[in-house]
Amino acid sequence: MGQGLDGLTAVRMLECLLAWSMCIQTLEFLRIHRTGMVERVWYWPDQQADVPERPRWLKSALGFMFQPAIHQAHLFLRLPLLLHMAWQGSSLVHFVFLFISAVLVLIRWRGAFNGGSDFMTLVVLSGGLIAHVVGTLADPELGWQAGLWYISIHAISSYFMSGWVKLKHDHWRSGQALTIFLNGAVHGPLAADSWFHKPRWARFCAWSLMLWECAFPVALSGPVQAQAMCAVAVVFHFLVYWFFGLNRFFWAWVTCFPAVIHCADLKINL
Amino acid sequence: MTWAAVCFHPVKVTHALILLYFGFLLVTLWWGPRFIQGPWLFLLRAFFPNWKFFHAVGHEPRLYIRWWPPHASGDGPRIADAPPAWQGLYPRCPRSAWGLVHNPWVNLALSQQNLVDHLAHDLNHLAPERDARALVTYKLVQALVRAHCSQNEGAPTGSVFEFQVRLERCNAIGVVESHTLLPSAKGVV
Repeated sequence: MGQGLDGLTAVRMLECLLAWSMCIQTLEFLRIHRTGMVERVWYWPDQQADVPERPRWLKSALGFMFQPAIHQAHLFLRLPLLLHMAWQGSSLVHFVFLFISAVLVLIRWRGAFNGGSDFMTLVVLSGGLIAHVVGTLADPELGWQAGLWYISIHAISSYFMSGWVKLKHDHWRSGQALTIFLNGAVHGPLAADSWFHKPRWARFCAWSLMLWECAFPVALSGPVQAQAMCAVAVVFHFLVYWFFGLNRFFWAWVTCFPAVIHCADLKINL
Repeated sequence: MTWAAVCFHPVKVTHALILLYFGFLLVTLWWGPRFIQGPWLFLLRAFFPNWKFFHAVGHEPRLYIRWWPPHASGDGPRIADAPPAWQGLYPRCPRSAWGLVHNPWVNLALSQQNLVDHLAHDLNHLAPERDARALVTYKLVQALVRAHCSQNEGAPTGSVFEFQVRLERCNAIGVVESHTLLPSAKGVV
């Protein structure tokens, strides 16, 4: 190993960051539920028409789980479990519970509450679940190797795909898309004298973003490159939070970085 | 070691399953959303992330609402009066540094806009013989407008509201094109 992260440190960092990220999500959910807005707008008896009739037991089980008091109690239960995982390390029980809980929350919000951050949280939970299942059936080291690679490939492909699809659009190549999305952002519109109204600055920022995203697989070439890419990613996700209000994206992606840095220092052992 | 023991060794099986999953993801990307259809796949689409964020500039769904207060005499709403102006219901929230660790209202506002996006998507794919009011997304957006009117606008009970979903195209300066995708039926607060 070079200046990378050894497996144990990477796993502990990932567990702590996942616990932090999911605590933030859980506390936000609990706050939102307290307003009654979920029951007024995302009223389950209306929403359950989205769920197929068969198997019937599953629809009934979802109806039971999504009773307001039970759903909130299950969210509360996440908190001690997450704290325990951060403090003591994870087990199969942690990941089975958190995985099922994340899937339930996704269904309650018609597949996603916050889009990509939900998806990336599920990726990390799936990686942890793979690690513990394989660890139980074979050996724990192999399990975490598989889990960390699973998370890394998703994290790296998320940047690459995101950059690649932008590159294919004229509006992104001209820089216009950046100004349009920033104008439509939750903290927008842009001030009249914002630099992002200047076409050359917008084009420069758009191209910097696209090239960096497309180059993200370079992170796998070594731990130093991985750390550099992840450091830029932290700044990028902070800016995404600053302009678009997407705080969950910040923590969901930061959670993956120990896996990326660890895998950058490993040989693929197929 | 037997052939089966080599081929079905947990290491090989783990790698094969992970490769199979990523192969499936690639297939879904290649064939696009047509491949991922059906109610369960919609609800569990998080398992098939495409990682396309803010990629295309086009027509964006926007929600517009208006409402009438009821008559003081209690004889129903004052629909006959001049209609109030349409107002946009689009997430705009103040920024805060604390929001990096606790941002429920911004996230809720974004998920409300997400609901409007889903309604627009459903309307675009609605069969001509089907009634938009039967859509789950229609009911949820209607409930959203009702909640907004009573909570944020102070609309008293008995007020009547309606909403429109418009598709708007913007350039770097502002809205350049707008057309109404759905005028709703009237609802009561």
